[in-house]
Amino acid sequence: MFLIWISYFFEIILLSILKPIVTDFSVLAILATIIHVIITTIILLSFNIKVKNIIIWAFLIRILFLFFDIFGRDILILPHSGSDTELFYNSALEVSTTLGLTLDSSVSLYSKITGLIFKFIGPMRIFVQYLNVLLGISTIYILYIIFDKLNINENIKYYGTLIYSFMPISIIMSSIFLREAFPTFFVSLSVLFFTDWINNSNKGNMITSLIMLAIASAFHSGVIGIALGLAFAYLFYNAYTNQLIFSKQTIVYSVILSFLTFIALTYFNGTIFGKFQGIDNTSELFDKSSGYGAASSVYLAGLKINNFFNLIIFAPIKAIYFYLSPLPWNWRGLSDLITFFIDSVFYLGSLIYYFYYKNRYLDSRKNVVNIFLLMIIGSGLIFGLGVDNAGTAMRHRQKLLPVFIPFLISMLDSKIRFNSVRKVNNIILDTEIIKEDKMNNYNQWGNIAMFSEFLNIFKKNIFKMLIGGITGLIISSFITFFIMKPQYSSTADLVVSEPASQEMNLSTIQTNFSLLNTYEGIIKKTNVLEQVIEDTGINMSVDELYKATTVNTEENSLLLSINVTAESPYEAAELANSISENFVNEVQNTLQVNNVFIWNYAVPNTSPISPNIPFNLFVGILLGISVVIFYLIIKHISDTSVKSENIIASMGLTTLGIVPLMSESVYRETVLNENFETKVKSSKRRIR
Amino acid sequence: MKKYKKEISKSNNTQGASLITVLKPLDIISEQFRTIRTNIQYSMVDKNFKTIMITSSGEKEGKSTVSANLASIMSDENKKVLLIDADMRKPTLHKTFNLENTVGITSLLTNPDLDLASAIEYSEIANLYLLPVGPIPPNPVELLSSKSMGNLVKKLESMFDLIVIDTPPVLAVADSQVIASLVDGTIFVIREEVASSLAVKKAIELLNITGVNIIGGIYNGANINKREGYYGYIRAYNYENK
Repeated sequence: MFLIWISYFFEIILLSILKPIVTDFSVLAILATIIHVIITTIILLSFNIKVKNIIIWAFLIRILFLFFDIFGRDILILPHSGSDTELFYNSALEVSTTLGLTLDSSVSLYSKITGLIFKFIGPMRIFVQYLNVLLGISTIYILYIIFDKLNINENIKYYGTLIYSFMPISIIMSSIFLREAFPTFFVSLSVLFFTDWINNSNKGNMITSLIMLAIASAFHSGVIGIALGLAFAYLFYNAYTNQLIFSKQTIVYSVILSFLTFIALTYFNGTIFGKFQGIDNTSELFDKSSGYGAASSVYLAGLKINNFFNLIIFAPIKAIYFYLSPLPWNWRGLSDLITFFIDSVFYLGSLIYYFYYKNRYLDSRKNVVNIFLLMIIGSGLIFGLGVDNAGTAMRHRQKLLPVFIPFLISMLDSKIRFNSVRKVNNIILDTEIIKEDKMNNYNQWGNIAMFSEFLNIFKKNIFKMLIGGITGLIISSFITFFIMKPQYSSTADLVVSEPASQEMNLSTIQTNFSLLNTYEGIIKKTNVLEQVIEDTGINMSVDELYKATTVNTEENSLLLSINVTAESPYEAAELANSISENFVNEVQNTLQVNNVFIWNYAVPNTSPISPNIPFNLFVGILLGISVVIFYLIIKHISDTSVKSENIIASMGLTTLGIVPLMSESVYRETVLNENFETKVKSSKRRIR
Repeated sequence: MKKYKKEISKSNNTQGASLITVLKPLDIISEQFRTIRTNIQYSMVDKNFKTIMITSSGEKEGKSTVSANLASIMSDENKKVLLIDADMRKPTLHKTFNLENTVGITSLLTNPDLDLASAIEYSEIANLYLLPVGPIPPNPVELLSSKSMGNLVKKLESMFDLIVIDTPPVLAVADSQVIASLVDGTIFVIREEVASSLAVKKAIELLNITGVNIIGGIYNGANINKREGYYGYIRAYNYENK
């Protein structure tokens, strides 16, 4: 897992170095992502854990969603993607241009991080979304380790990982441009350290767990509710003896702590509740919580919380709605029904399961399960206050999955343990299996051997990869030379300035700046472009010309450049000049201002800007090779054929012996019905 | 690699299995069969195994080769060993030992009055008694599950020290499960890169349902050239090629 992250950061650094050199950076970014996807898949393949295939498929499906989110927007915008993601995208852009914002507390942490990434490698949303994917699969891996630390049965572990990997909401959240992947990741880390603390009652683990939770709540404050569970565990739960102890001392501590929490909530909730930005005091928070639901799937709209008493009564109700909505009586159509069955059902199921099995199966793990439940209650109360529509609830409760899944999984595991108590043999078997699993899981460096196995596969198939590369080269050269028409571009420069007679002061310059933006709009307006088509007599529609034209204004300058791309250099120059002239006329005629001048006429530039031949060929080769690598990887995953004699032992059988592969020549020599007589004569020696 | 393996398997069907333990007794592969013999004998110490069945999950995993060579290596210890071909779908025994496949186990089963001696042949070089399939029947499962099959096995057990039965794959047909209920022990052959691990698991589950005593597994077709360690040791002891 670390290897994946190291390679990701390495790639970012590499790209930030390459950025000034490469012209078509967006294609390079996509390529770099694809390469990293391959690297990650290989690293994941070399994992020595049973759920590695789940993780790989989870990873690939998230990548699919990522590409769909970026390139498939015309077809369908993924749920939750859209205005919110654009908001984050824009604020990230803002941060990347003005770095000072990183110190501004009103800007969310997520925007700061994404802004920094943008600063390094330019506004490539693919990178940020890819980061989310990596966080998503890391969360899966961490969940798996959590199960391991909780000593969960192997099969149940498998299902737990499966739930998180393929829950639709978690797939979407870790592939689109939203911050959710970050808090989820840190919540899972917090739970991981919490389980560590359960195992060894080391204070350091508890503190790390709290720190992780604090980081998670810096991304999204609602998850701080998990601290309720952690605080309870720290005060009353003795992990060593697995007992809840309510001594005078701990009760006094807890009273002090809740008092402090109460004060903190009252005085500092402007900073603590970062999510409810712009809310200064508690009463306003309640107002917002009840009137916030402008979105479609609002629930409990009439429930107003006006005072402390209301808070106590309604907060639990709102928490329940938060976890379970859209509830059947709020369904407005098929989509709500589907949402309920793919999302709410999980939370509903786990909670019902808790009450159903509370008195039956919860054994030694009872206390841990209760602590998980407290975490769920705590964060449910906080989120419940701030959320009142199903869509938002879905998004926010996804962050609590790293608590919810271990909660459910521990209960299911307890059931299995309970059943196996009757069969003593099973218990022995169970503990043996656990021991074996542990040995497998902690053998981290064993991965390297697996890794070299993969290198071997590539070595063996180097010829296929070569063919893939050559095929890619042929296809891309065919496309570049025969299908793509060369494109030429030409640029005309205009300058916006007041006549010299007028006084040049700050306000006129300011006016010119704002005019610049207006002009930028006017240039691409239909009547200018129509006039251009009429003048030049070119065979192009307004729409085509619109797409071929780009207008650039440089920051802090009064220069406007009009760039036109066309299939011949002369045409491009003619069009650029015609647009400039028509635009100047248009401005003079309609706006009655005389402050735009053509500074520089466009000249034909005979070297085509596209296709970029070496780049295209390079991309072709690389894509060809990656397709082959993907094919090999998929083939390797789906190949269930036996590779080692360990299979006999793993089936519980004795290995009687290993017969080496017979070479063809030996076979020919030892098969009887060829030259029967000579063979019989030659077999004189026999060992008895 | 795979192409080459398929070639071997194909030739197996037309030419029969290799008798490496007979014709190249010092080869590394024969040496491994001797190891297998020892291991089986160890597991037989307190039990009296008279009949052993060889099977696998799928086709072309080397059942016939393993059973012929195992039987011949067992007979080296002055034991009277009978090798039966019970794969009535794709018989190989007669090809392996160059026999006429006119009379065999099916003849004995359909005609109980037939003399055993007329169906069983003796191979001098392998020091083995052989019972080929005979005419291929239309209804192998019914034939194998008939009462006369049980009687035949009992009769043969009294005549020989050890009986090795070559059977069809477990997952393909029910024949081997039927035979498994008649024998004392089963040996499971798994061939590298041919067997699917899922199929192996399924097959062993099926055998366990029938309550079969599985003596153990033999890993066949191991590519020793690409491995190190233990295999390197095997390679070093390949006297035949020295």
